Order: sequence, then structure tokens, then C-alpha cells
Amino acid sequence: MISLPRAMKHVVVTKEGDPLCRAGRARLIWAANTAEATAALGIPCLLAGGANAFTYPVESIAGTFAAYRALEALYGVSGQFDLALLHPDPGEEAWSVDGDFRRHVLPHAAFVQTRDPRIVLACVRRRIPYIFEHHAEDYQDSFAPWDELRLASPLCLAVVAITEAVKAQLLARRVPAAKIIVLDSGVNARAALRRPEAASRWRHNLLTPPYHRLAVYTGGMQAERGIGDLMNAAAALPDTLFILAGGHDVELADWRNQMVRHGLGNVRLIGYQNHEVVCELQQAADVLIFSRAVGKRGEITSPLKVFEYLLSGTPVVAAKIPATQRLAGQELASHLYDPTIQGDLPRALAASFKAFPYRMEGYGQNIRAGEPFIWQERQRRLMDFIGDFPIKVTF
Amino acid sequence: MSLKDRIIQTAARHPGLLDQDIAFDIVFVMHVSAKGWILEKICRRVAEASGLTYSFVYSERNDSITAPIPRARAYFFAHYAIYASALAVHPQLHGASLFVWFTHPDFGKGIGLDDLVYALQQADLVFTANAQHASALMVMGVPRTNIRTIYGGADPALFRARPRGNGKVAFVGAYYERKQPEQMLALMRAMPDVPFLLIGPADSSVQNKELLWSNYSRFAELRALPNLEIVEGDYEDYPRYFAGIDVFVSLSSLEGGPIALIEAMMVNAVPVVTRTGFAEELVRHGENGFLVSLDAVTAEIVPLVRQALAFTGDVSRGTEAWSWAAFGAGISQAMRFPLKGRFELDFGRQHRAARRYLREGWELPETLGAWQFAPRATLLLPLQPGQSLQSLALQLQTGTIFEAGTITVRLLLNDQPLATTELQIGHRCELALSHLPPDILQPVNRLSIEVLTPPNLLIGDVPRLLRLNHINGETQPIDGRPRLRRASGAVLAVHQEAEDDATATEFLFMAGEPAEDLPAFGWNEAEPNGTWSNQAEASVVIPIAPSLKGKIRVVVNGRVYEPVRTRNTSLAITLSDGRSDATGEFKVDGSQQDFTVDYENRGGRRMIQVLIALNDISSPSELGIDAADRRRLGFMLSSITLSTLA
Repeated sequence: MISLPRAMKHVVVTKEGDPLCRAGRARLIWAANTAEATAALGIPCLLAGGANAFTYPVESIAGTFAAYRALEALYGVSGQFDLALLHPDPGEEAWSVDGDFRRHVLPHAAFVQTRDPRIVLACVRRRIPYIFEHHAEDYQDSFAPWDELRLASPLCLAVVAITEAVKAQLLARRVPAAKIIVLDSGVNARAALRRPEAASRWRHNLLTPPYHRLAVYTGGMQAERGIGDLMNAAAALPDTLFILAGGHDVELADWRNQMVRHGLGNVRLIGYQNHEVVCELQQAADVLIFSRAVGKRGEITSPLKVFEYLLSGTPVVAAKIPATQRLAGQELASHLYDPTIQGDLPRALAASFKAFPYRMEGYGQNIRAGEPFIWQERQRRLMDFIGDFPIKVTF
Repeated sequence: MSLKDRIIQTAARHPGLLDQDIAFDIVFVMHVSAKGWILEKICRRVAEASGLTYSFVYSERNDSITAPIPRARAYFFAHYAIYASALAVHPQLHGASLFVWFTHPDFGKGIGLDDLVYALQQADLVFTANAQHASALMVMGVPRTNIRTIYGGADPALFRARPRGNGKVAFVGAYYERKQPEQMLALMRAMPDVPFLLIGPADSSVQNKELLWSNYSRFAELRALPNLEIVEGDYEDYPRYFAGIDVFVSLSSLEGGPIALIEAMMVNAVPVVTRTGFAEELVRHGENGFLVSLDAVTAEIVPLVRQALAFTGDVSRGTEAWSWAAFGAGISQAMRFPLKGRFELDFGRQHRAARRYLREGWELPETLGAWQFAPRATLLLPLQPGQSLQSLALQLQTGTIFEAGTITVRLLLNDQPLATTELQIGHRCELALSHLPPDILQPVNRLSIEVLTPPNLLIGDVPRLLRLNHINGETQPIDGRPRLRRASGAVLAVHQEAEDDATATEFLFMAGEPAEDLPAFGWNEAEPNGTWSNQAEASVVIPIAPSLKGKIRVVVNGRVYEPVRTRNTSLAITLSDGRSDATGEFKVDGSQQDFTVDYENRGGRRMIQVLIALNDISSPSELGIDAADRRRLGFMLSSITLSTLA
């Protein structure tokens, strides 16, 4: 494992200008969990992000504690890493690579793990080693001077592709195959903790007549995620209560209109929830739904949510897309449905209810199948891929 | 701007949430420094006893809630300081039931008395730890009906009564100046022959390190006392420490409880306590303890402590009633708003019944009630322990969206069918239930209204099936006699009254509502909460339903743009049909409210103009509030409702 000199850190940072944390932002969840996993491997780690995450001053020791508490509440990370809270330069709206990040973070960086090509460029200019994670986000895809990232150079320790399809894109951009590692996003290990009391409380309160089953979806509420299919499934299964946790206010308002228009009394749109609540609901459910609308986004969808679902021990019903094909060959408490066939989701849900009745302790085969995908395991694989490399100790 | 004014302004912005948008029954809110200490413990006990879905939110500050606020039907504030400030910042709180734990009056939190009283007036219930504080709140202007005093608490299974005999005297609690540490020090010095024990919190058990006794400036002197043992532990260790004491002393100048008084009495330790908090309500001087006046000097306290050491009676009798379980059950029972005696509930948006009792299947309430959009919609009927539901009547308005002339409606109580009936569309209906089967009644009952008419007979986009306007009924004590007969089913009496035509009697001016199409002059674009006037005089013409005859009451709901109000703006609303008119003039306080004007429709006209006049209006850019917003804003019109005056 990598041993860093004193005061040198493995820096984890998302994208220029990003706040340290914010409810329901996938790349901020990635950063916090990556920092936690790195620290858990014994590597000194520094998580950098914008202080604009907070509506109150955090420029004090007490404020730093508050930031750690916010990360724990939102993402379920215990904060065994250092924090760099970045501020915008005067006249700017958000922190920049050439501002606080250059002044306060880069001098401590043994190497940088980031998703932002602009931050990679800053590392290239200062000859700081880096790991670039490509998650096929719009700002990554639209980045123009791709060659300047020098992903073939020794400075680039690894390029993480989130799926095989993303790897293919990278190869097409002439990134050497030896530099690329395909890593799914990870799962917070706390998802595996059993929460029988909380799960019972949810079931007791939610499964009132006429509802006999609880179907839970956690995640974004964009149409591409198959929320429309979920609404149709709710109409087909009136004795099942559908809890949809996630989404922003605007998206939720649209889905609420649809819910009312279709007269669906068995749908709850409860918005974004903290990590702990998500875990409770997942363990309270009869089934967890990983839905996807028909379309190309399915090709590059990360199976992260499936792993989180598996770790909860609850049976899973998932859309048949590349990311979920791996469920098919295993003896898991799961069903796949075909999003191109109307009515296939309620069919799969009914089959799941029949085949896998609710178990308070969860289905062991699902839990075991999810364990290899925790963030710490992901980061260990990445560090093993990188191997040893020289650390620059002057800046 | 005062806190009260900011609360009024924030309340006007609250987003309407359906019950189906909500994650939790209740969210407990407290400052992060309360974590691990008594306020959190109180909330945990209430949460566990409630059987509800709940969450905890810890705020880093008292002037707002810094953590994301989950959507909830109710919010329980562990301290009124954060409650009052949060009301002025977070609109979403105003759409929920609000509960406040009123620990003790402490006006050092930067909140003025008027502001505090106004904030507490907005709460559905204020819980006090003792009757004194309840009385004080009533004198200050908080409605008596919104205050509950519930004593608590300790766990009798942990704090068990045992015989006294080792002569030890204990102080219990965290370090605060109001605990009178100087007086404690003097007392222990005045009684060198008596062994004392100070039980305080361990460093690991509290977030707020200022509560540790090491913060006391004379802690070294305290620690050096030969007759004092100091133990600092987690609350879990307290029963062990309490088991070794004979007398409990509290010299505090201000308390809500103290909770330790109950713990001490449960273990049969004789209390010697100052007349603060609930001490005077729990301790009868000389009978089960000793009361100390707040200005007592050490020489007066010493003999009371010696009397307590010599006391032979059992002070633990009756303390089970102050258990945490009873405390949590008492608060959670109150938070369900059980139906009592003869009850009447209106489900219009201006009433609180909708948020308290309506569950899935209902749209946001309008002025007259809430529309059912799902084939099955539910409302709760909570009862007090020992009470049974004797009768129930529902007043409904059926929608006009079915092709069929009638719809079939079934009522279910706790999922058991009660009755099925046919209702004509476009009618006002009353369904009166009697002979409610008592064997299916529970502490919280779910009454479901099921529209059995197939949805494929629906016309239009939004399924407005029924509007629930009002319910009334009666509860009676269960006294052993079978008051209600188990009939073959509940008897359902139906009364239906036709509407003369389909002309609306309520007009909503929010974005997307049909009232946008009414003839109007002097208005901005409609917004989610209503439409702002952009002229000093703005008008709208609305149709009058033929069913509205004679004298008509017109209720205009809205609010005046706040900065205008501060410049002594007056509001006048004039109704005119060309033949007769009526004007109402109003004092405006910036809050969303109803402005009522009565009018005689002498000519039997079918249209009326509503003119809203302000003596001055302004724009956010002119006032320097928002340079980009050049709209002129006068009156935010949300709704106009017409009804016949009896």
C-alpha cells in the first residue's frame, strides 16, 4: 500500500466549484465515500470542497466539526479524513482551481483523485500525479482539449471508467488500455448494518389497509430512471404501497401532478432522505425497484444502486440493462423485467412478492453478493492497480 | 423587521404538500449541543412512545435550521429559541403541525417577549414541564387550549425504590450558573460531617462541553472538599449512583423540572429542592420532601437537609405516574389530536383539521374542503383512551366529472366495510353514520371513502371525485354498558341537495387555476401562491352562481406586499354589480388572511366586480430589495369565495 510522506495527502475532489456536500448529489457522495475509504486503508486523505455547502460560517474548529457532522448525516461517513473548505476569490461565485485550490490544497497533494478534467489540467501543469475518474457526466464528455490531460503520461496514475461502455469511449480517445480500470461506484458499508427496529416501525406505519406490500425506489427522479413505469406499476398493484425517495422539488412537482391525474393513492413521493433513512426504508421494503426507462442512458448506467440494494438484503426487481445483467446468473433474491414490455414491471413485482416473502433479517445471498462492492473494496482495487510510485515532496 | 413580521412573511410562502409528499409523521428539531443530553432524551422518549415514523434534525445554529429539513406532518421543537427563529426562516414549517417543548422561561436567547408569544401562538401545542410555566404562558397570551403540562420522567425499572440508610446527600446535573454552585459549595462546607455526592455528565456524553463541571471557576475548591465525591458518568450509570443516596438536593434558581427530582423520588431519596420548576407540584413540604425558598441562605437550608436525613417516610409512592413511558404516551397522545365529546372539523385550507386528520388520496385543501383524487382516500379518527365513537356525519360535495349521473361510494372503518350508497353527481351530501361497531374501534381509526364507480367513466384530466367539507360526531366514554349495538352494518343516512348549476363559488388565482381566465385589470402573471396586483387599483370580475341569493358574503384571501405595509398602507375592497355596491376597509399586517365584505345582490345580478385598492404600491427594485425585480407589487390575491349569508 502507498505510504505518503508527512503532510502529503491523497486529495479527493469532485469538480471545480462544487460544494463539499449537498443532498442527493451523486458526485459529492462519491467524493465523501472515496475519502472515507482511502483513510480506512491507512492513507492520509484530504477531501476538498466548497464552503458554500453551509449557510453558516465554518472558518473555525467548531465549524469544521459542523462540516464533519453534515457529511455524516447526509452520506453516512464518519470523517476519518482531513477537510479543505474552499472559498471563492473576491468577485467570484464559487471556488476555482487557480484560487483556494491551488493555494491551499495542491501544496499538500501527493496525488489527486478527481472527476474534473480542469483539475487534471492543473495537476499536469504542476506535475502532480493524478487519478482521473470518468463517469460520463456532461461536463466530462464536453471537455475539449482532451489531449492536454496527458492520460498516457506517467503522471496519470489511472483512469477510472465507470462502465465498460465508458472504457470503450476512453479507448476511442486513445487512452492506453493499461491505464484504464473499470470500477463500479461503491456502496457505503453502513448499508449492511441491520436496522430491525426502524424497519419494523416503517412497516407498521406504512402497511395499513389496504396495503399489504411495500415497494421502495431510492434515487433520482428523472424520467430516464423509469419513474413513469413505476407509476404504471402502482396503478396495476393497488394493494402495494410505492415509496419513491429522492429527487428535487421541480421533478417531484411534475410527478405529483401525474400521481394525482392518475388517481394514485398508493404512491408516496417523499423526496431526498439522509443515508440512514434510505437504509431503513430499504430494509423495511418487500422489494426494491431499480427501474430504467427505455433509451441509451441504460447503456452507461452504473449498477451502484443495485449493489446498495443487494447489501440491504431485500429482494430486488431490476430493469434488464447491461449493468444488471450480472444479477441474472446468480442465485439472488431478484427478478429482472424488460422495460420495453408494457406491464412487465408489475409482473416482476408480483413474482417477487410470491417467491421472496419479507424477511426481517434480509436475504443472505443478496447481502453477500453486495459485500464486494463497498467503497473501501473499490478503493483498495484502485490502489492495487496503481501500485507503488514516486511521490514528489516539493511544490 | 421584527421576528414576528418575518414569521408572517415566511408563513405566506409555505409550499402546499399533499400527505403523499410526506416522509415522516414527526421530525424532532434541536440544537446540536442538545445531543446526548436531557432535551434529546425527552424527544427520544416521545418518539419511541409515539409509534410514529420519526426523524431527528440537529441544527448547528439557533437562528435557523442548518440541516436539511425532512418533509413531515409535524415538527417537535425541543427548545423554543430555535422554534421561534426557524418559523421566520423556513416556510415548510408553516404547512405542518407544530409542537414546542417549553423548558423554562429564559429571555437571554435574543427573542423578545412579543415575538416569542406570537411564535408560540402559531404552535398547535406547547408542552410545559410544570403548571407554573403553563400559567405564565397563558398570562402572556398563549391560548390555554394549546398548552399541555405533562410531568416526566424517569424509568422506574432503572430507578428502583430501596431503603435509605447510608446518609449520603447528592446534587445531580450538569454545570450551569443557575444551579447555584456557590450555594452548593457553601452548603457542603457548612455540613462537614455529611458525605456529599455530585453526579455530573461525563465528557463523552455531551456535545456541549460547557456543561462539564470543570468549567466552574471554583472547581478546584469543589474538588478539594473532603466530604464530597464527584462522579462524572453517562446517563446509563446514573441508577447505580442514585442507589447510594439518601437525600437529593437541588438549589437551582430556575428549572423546568428538574428531572433528577423524579429520579431521586423513584429511588426513595428524600428531596430538598428550591421552589422552581415542578418542585412545588410534586413535593408536599414535610410529607414527601422539603421545599426551599429561592432566596434561602445556607443557614436555612442546613436544617432542611438534616430533617431530610432524619425523615422516615417512603417518598417513592406514586412516582410510577411520572415514568418516561407515561410522559411519552401523554405527549404522543396529545399530538394525535384525539376527538373529544361532540366534535366538528372543517377541512378548508384555513383550518388545521386537514393537516391533522387527512391522509392519502386528498388534494391540497381549498377554502371549503379537500378534493378526493384517488379512488380510496383516508382520514384518521383518533380517540382518547376509554372513549368510543358514537356517531359520525360527513358533509361532502360530489364532483361533476363522471358520465354517469350517480356514483357509488363505500365507507370503510379500519378496512371493514360500514355502508355503501349511491350519490348523485354535483350534489351536496351528508352521510350520517350511527351504530358504529365498537369492536372495530381502535385508538387511531382509519375511515376510508371509496368511490367504486370505475375511473374509466371519468371526464377530464384531474379526478375530483368528492370534496370533504366537514365532519361532526360524538364520542362517549366506554363505561362497560354496550351503548352501541352491533348491527348488520353501520346505519347510513344520506341527505343530498342539488347545486343549481355548475357555477363555482370559489375562485383560485394561483398559476394554472381557471380563474386566470376571468376578466381582470391591473395584475401581474399568476404565481404558485396567487397573483400580485401591479396597480394601486386592480379589479377582477367574477360570476355569481344562481344558488347564491340575497345577501352574499365575499371572502378575499391574500396579503399585502410587506414593504408597502410598513408605510401605513390601507386596503379597501369594493364589490360592485353596477346597481349596488359595498366596501370594506382593512388594517393590513402583511399576513395571509381573509378579508370579508358582505354585499346585497339586489338586482339578482350574475356578475360582480371586485376592486382591490391600496393607497400606494411599490416594486422590489425601487425599495432596494431586489434590483432585478422591477414588478410593482400591491396585493397578492389567492382566492375569492362567495357564500349566501343566512
